[in-house]
Amino acid sequence: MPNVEITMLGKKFGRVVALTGVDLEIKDGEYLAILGPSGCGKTTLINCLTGIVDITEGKIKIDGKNVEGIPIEKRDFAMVFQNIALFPHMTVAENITYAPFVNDISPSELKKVESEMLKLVDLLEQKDLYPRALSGGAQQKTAVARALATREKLLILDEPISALDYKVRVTLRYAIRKLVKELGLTAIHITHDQEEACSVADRIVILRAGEIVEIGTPQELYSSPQTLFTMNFLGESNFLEGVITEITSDDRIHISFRNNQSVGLLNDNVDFEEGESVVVAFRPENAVISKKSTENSLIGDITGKQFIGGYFRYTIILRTDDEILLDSQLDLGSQGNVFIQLNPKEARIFRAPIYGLKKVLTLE
Amino acid sequence: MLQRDRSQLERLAIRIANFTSKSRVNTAWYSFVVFFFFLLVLLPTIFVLGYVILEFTAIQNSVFSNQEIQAQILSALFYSISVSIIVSIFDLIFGLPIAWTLVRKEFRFKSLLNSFIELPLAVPTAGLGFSVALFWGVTPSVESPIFAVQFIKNALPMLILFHFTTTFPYVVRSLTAILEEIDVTLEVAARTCGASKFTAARTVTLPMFRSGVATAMVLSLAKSLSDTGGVVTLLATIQSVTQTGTTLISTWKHSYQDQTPLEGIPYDSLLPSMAFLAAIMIGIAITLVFVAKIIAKKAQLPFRKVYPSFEWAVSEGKAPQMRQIIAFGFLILFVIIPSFFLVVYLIQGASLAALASANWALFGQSIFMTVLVASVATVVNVFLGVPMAILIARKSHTFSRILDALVDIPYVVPSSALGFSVGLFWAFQPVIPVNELFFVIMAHISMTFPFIVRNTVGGLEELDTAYEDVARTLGAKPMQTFREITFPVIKFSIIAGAIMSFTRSVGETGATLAVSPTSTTAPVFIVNLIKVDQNYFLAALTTIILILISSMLIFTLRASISRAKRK
Repeated sequence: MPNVEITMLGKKFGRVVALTGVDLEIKDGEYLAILGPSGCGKTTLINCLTGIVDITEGKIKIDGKNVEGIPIEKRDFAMVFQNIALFPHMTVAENITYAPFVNDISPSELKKVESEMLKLVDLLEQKDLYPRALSGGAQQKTAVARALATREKLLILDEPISALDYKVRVTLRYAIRKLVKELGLTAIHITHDQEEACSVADRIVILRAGEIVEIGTPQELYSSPQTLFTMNFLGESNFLEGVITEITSDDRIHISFRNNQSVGLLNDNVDFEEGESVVVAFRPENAVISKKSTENSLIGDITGKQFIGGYFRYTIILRTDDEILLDSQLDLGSQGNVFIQLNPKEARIFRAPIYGLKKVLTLE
Repeated sequence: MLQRDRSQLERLAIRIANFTSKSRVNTAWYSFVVFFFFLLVLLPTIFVLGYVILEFTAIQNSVFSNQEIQAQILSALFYSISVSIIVSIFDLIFGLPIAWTLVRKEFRFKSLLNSFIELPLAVPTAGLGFSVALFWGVTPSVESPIFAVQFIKNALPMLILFHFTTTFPYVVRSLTAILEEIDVTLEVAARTCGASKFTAARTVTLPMFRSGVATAMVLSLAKSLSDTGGVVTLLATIQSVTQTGTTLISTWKHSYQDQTPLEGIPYDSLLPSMAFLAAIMIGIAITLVFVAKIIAKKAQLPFRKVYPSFEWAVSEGKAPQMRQIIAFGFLILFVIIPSFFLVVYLIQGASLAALASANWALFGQSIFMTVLVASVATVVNVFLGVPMAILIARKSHTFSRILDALVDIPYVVPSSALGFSVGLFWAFQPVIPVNELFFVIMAHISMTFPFIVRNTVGGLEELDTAYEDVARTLGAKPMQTFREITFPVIKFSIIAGAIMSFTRSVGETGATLAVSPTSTTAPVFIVNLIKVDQNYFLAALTTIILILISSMLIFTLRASISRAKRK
């Protein structure tokens, strides 16, 4: 059964370092998403795994077998490509049966695979069409079927649906996950779309500038990210820079911001010291806004209001001079003084990065 | 001051743009271009076909009643056709793996090899024929240099070897150009499905590559049918009396011009016989091209079957490397060495006597004439070919599609048939008095016109029309759009076309001989040196000088292009 072990993988193109120190284990039957902004090394990682490029250092084992030196066609995986890469001179049926065809199986066997796969992706009626006559979604379904027809247990999906329309994307990503789970496959799904990653994956690997930033389930990464980058990249966040003024015995940390604004928050993991510079990060839904003065809160002015559907999104300029976004069910008008109470458990405290907040949050 | 000058200049440019963008001026210019193409490029090229119909009685009287003429024509056509078919098959068999390797593989001497393949293109065929004959052939009248193979006596194998040398670089170039367009991901996708490299290439890339194969075949066929100067020097060097279609036309033309009768052929029969032969060769060329295109479109490559064990075997281990070594060994032995073998001769055979006896005035004159003709033809073609390319690539009526098909005709028509036809046309018309230099230039214009048009069309097709539309929505006039948006992008394609046109013109013998046997361009000078004077040394020297002129031009342009591109 396929599990993939990647140890200390590095890849350089000349002097350019594309990947460095990548350690990753993918379990049998797992649906793993590799998420990162464009240029982060996602595609290089996949190209190393599949053998499209040679690795510079480290080791890759598929199913316990070191794959170094094994050519693409002999590695045990199936792949769906970003640009779909259907063979333009073959019909849907011919595309789908390409893998059994090149392995020279008997014609009756071939027919069986063909009808099974066509049924699986629901393309029976289009089987004699050429790829150019298909919609984007149907093309990608054909590509998925072509990959599945290899009967490999490891499926690699390189941005499989990012070229399609939003609605098609949403339907197709559930369809792909369902197929993978039903057939008991291991899947590696590359994407730059965090919503897509969260909705399909069992676990997400966040990649940035050739390095793994964080690995975890979608919930873990969303609600308790360990890095500022993840906090920013996955979902929306507000960031406030401040200094710890006091740590009380009940683990409550008091932080003061610019212009004498301060709050007390709870901390669960990192050991902080008094006087340390920190960044407080919180999501728009993790604060309560009110017109009345409340304890332990930040003061600000509403400068904008948008109705999102079910709730309002406010733009607020705090007394600290920071601009933040907050969600609330209440209609508080589009201007005026407000008090903001952060949820003390959900707001997260990070050590202030050495090279500055901006540098850490940039995607490249 | 400078500021003001500049703004004045710019104002002038805008005024020109305004003027040239007026729809009437525009239409007038395009009409002129089309008129020029039909009347002065296409019509002269195929004029002989009309002539044959008009003068059919004369042809009947001279050709059909004369056994000797018929025998000569049949034998010449046999050589031309069989050689070109055999050569194009060899070209394909060896061209595919080499083109493949050049496009898809990374190896150490790749860029060196890339320029190596193009080198023979700079050698004028008149010199090439001599060089190839020296390397392979038994040469009774020339002392053969060291390393010469000295093996072939007969005309047929010699012709095949020679045409392989001349056509192979063209075939490889056109194959690589098209192969580069095909997405590599498709092959990778095939391999992830478990196909071996060979299977992937055969079942996925090759079927998509059919049009490329057809283009290469057409090129190879047309070039082999067309060459004159090289065949003359080749056969003269091995002292064979064999004639191909093209050499027969130039021999007859020569005797017609000099009024020296040939054995068994009455003087009055020469002109109708030449016209008949030229018309047949043009017909054959156009038919072959047509057939090759149909074959490429219709033929099903045998891809619905795989042979896994065999195909794995040739994809793995030492096999691909062996294949490469064989292909490249072949390239070096059959193309590179024969092309440049005359250098060996030149070094070894340096003799003062040969130099002293040479007609240096004629030598200088011939070089001057060659450069003059090639330059004028290239400049005229750039001015008329670029608008023609725009008509083809950017205007979408049926008319542009017709132009698209017609533009290639001068390209496939055998050059001496073309030259003969052009000469016939200009002698026939009553408006412009007979001027041989002018006729030669017109023949070279017809012959090289497709190079500029094809290259520019290629460049235009690469450029997304959206850029031009954006410029137009921002208020740019059509001419301004062309100058500021289109031209900067396609200028490299135009330059590439101009280089091809220039070198082709420099190396051309057949058309020049057939228009006017007395106009001595350098290749004609070389032919005469070898065939008549037997001053082989000077012939080799002239060839080398022509190579230097062409390659100097190519290298300076290349260098300036790559500098501009780096910017």
